[in-house]
Amino acid sequence: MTDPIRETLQAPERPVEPDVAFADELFERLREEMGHRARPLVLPRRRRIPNPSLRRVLLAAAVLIVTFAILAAILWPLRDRLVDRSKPAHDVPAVVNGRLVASRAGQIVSMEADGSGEILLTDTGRDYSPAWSPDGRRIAFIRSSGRGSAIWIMDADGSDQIQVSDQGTMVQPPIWSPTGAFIAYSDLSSDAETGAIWRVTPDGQERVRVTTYADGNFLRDWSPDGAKLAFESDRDGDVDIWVMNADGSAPTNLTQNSVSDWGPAFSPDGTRIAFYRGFGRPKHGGWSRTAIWTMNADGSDPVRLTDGSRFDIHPRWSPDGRWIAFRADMMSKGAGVAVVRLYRMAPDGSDLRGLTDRETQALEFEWSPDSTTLVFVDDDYRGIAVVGADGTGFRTVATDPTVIGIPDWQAASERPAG
Amino acid sequence: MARTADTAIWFRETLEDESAFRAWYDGALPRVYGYLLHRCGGQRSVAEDLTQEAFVELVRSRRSFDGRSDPMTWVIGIARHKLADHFRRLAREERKRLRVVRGPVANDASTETWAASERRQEIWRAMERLPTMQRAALTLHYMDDLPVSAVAAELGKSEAAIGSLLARGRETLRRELPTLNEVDDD
Repeated sequence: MTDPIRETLQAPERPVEPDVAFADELFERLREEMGHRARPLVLPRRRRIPNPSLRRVLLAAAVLIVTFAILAAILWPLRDRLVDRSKPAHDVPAVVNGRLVASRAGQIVSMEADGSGEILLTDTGRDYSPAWSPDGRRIAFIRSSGRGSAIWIMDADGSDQIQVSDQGTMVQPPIWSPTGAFIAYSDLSSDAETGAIWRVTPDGQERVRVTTYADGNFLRDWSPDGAKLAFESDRDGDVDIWVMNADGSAPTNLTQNSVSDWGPAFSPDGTRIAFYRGFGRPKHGGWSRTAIWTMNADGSDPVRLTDGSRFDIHPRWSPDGRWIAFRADMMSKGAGVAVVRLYRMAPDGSDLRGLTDRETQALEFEWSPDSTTLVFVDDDYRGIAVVGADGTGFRTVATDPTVIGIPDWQAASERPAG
Repeated sequence: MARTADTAIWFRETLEDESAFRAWYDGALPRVYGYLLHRCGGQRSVAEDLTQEAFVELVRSRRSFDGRSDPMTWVIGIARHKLADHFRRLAREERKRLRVVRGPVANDASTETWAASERRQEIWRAMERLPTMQRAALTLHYMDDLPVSAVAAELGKSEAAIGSLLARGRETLRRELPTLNEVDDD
């Protein structure tokens, strides 16, 4: 005989949307909580004015100016003999980097790489994770609503906004195929279809779920020729790097082992895949460290590039293939992740260099199209910052505490005129 | 599910990437809020307070998430702790004869949003009249399907005490709701 109390009380429950103001206020509270926890210092470094590094910079600038004035006075009379006036005084960069696009307070904005010329593209307050199309003409992004979230697309000026995916529960950032013909994304809803990978066309006409396995798929990258998708899946027990054809056929596990592998990224020539792997002895249900590895695109010849002394994650190749940049989380005893730094190294692991200092909380990052610069979210100062691939030229280009997520850098070599 | 360390790292990254976190939050919030609203008799202000406590706790304790459960399961677990704390606070108030929150049909949300059926609402009206600890035991045992030992752990009581609370709560519901007379103890 059934139990009416149990039966009635166990009836399926629907999620209930709370008041929007409550939801937004709570989110702000949580952001503050996370910001405080992320900062190891009481005061962010750049708010202590004047600080020693600023003084050093000013002193160095003053010395340079005086030196330049003396040299100019000496050399000016000799200028015609020293300078060949038939050529420009310096080389013009071959590629001029395009505009950045980012989400601030749920609004998508674009700006020049120096932070100037900002344009507000959406104003819903619920738009995130913008990504330029390869031709720099359109932007894909996540629009969330009370019913979940979906992938949307708009033109570079914010016009013609259309929804191109079905509504999902936990839609992850869109990834354009190299030709711009498709957008792929993961939906990590915790319902039956957890971790499905979907592929849609920019007009929204074709919406295909490309993974048939129900659980634990997380899309990371397209191959440069657009033929394959690289993703993480735990269908074989632990998380491994998988590739499949862009239609979902021929899924192949490239890292069949008992350790966990994440974050596959194809090299620009498509021959190698960088990824990160659990390192050391698992404890407390997690790996003690991670290291960056590369392997051939068929999974052969795996090579460890970093020593596993940190949590090295998210390897990303520079567009010219010369460097692999990654993010390193440094742990401190009892405080979890204390410092997050950006590093770069040659694809064979040599020439490793830290690009940001220990006081900068460098979160998500992206390469500039000309491979000279990285843009990242600076969680210490809450803004967007850039730094050169050689570690010089650190500067903040947008200082807005509401910046959310990774900025994306338009490929300016194909930037539309006007 | 095989994910453990991987889920932990994924979720840690999700929390650090505010875009991903917002997307996850927007999906998780209605579930947590709905979970709590259904268990505190539709009292919106109580559900909001407990939802806030749960999410703040999640953020503060995110380093301890080991990935052995789905993040949604984890946050619901935190919400359940907060609900249990709420019941215990109410019980303390009751002992002091300060029944300031509890009352018949005290919900301030519309019936449609939290009570799926008339019968459910009828049972809730009756449960609102139960002593808090009986209501807490019935809620966690039946709505969350927790075994008696887990209910005991959540509410800080012995298993025998929970068994007694459940028996008395069911007896009261049977008495107050004639339609439940066919109840068969399992």
